[in-house]
Amino acid sequence: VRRIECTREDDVLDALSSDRWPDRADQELRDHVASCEICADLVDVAGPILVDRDAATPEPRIPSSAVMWWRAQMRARQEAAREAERPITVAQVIAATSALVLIVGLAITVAPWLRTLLPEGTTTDVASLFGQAALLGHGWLLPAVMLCVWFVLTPLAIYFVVVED
Amino acid sequence: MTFTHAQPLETVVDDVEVSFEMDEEAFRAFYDRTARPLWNYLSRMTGESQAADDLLQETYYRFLRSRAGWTSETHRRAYLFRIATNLVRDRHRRARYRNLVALPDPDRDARCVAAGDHAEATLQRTDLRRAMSRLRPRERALLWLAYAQGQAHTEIANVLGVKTESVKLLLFRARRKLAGLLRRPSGHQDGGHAL
Repeated sequence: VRRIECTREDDVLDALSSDRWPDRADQELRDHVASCEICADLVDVAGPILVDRDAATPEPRIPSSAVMWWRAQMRARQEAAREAERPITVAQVIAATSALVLIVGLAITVAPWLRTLLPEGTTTDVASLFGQAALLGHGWLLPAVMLCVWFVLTPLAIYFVVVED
Repeated sequence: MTFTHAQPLETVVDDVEVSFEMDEEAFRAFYDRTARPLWNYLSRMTGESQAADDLLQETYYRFLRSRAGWTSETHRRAYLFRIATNLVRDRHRRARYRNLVALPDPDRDARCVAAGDHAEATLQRTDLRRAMSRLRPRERALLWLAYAQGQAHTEIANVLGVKTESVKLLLFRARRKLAGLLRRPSGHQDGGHAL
């Protein structure tokens, strides 16, 4: 079975992190590293990582704790406000889709009357396009279609508005 | 909180009550202790200073918003690094999805040299970063947490969401791989992998 750890790893790490490796490390530890594959890997890997860590310490970009706290507060408040606003947005969307469906339904209902006001033959194609005659032929069909359209349209509109938020 | 819809969002933001699990004083002390190691960790995991800046902010925000009920400083710290690790992982997935390759960060090297470092040390760090970029994100995280942060195996397991018993083997493999990459001549390390 291949070894995956060595009992001297902590000693090697200690020598590396306290800057004793290699010159000020015990000869016995150096001999061990020379003969141990695991500790040799450790020296090759942990040494440069520690150098890199220490070199990276004076990075100037980190914002102060006060700035970070303030930003977090502001963002949390904005999110809370948006969250509180959501029921109003949803109500508005429901109202808008209801109004849209009602307007279309009303337009279909009054279209025959409107057609009488226009020159003959002008609206026949449009009326047949919307299946107006068929819809108005049955008393229940138009409200049923409007309700179906509303049931499909409203959740979709709510979804898109909420996702947008 | 009550407000009318006629008010723009910006005007009501100040009235909104928000509470974090930590108070300001405790957070600021915790931030001062952890921000630099966390930034270094994020910087090594992403390979980009700008990304580290963004993720640092996101990490602390999510940390503050969480209701984790930390029991100790170690737990709190591990939780913070776990959030950071998950953010890096998400970013990595998105980058892979978009087939993006991380670009080297030349200004960072310039800053290091300007700080008065020796050329040899700079070269060594460049080699390390190249080699690290060829590791998987989890391997990078393991090595950085173990050697740069000096975290115990249990802490690393908490941060990375793996079993404590697995850390030893994963660390061994990552170390082998990185040692192999570092021993290769520099020219063979070019063409880093997508992060």
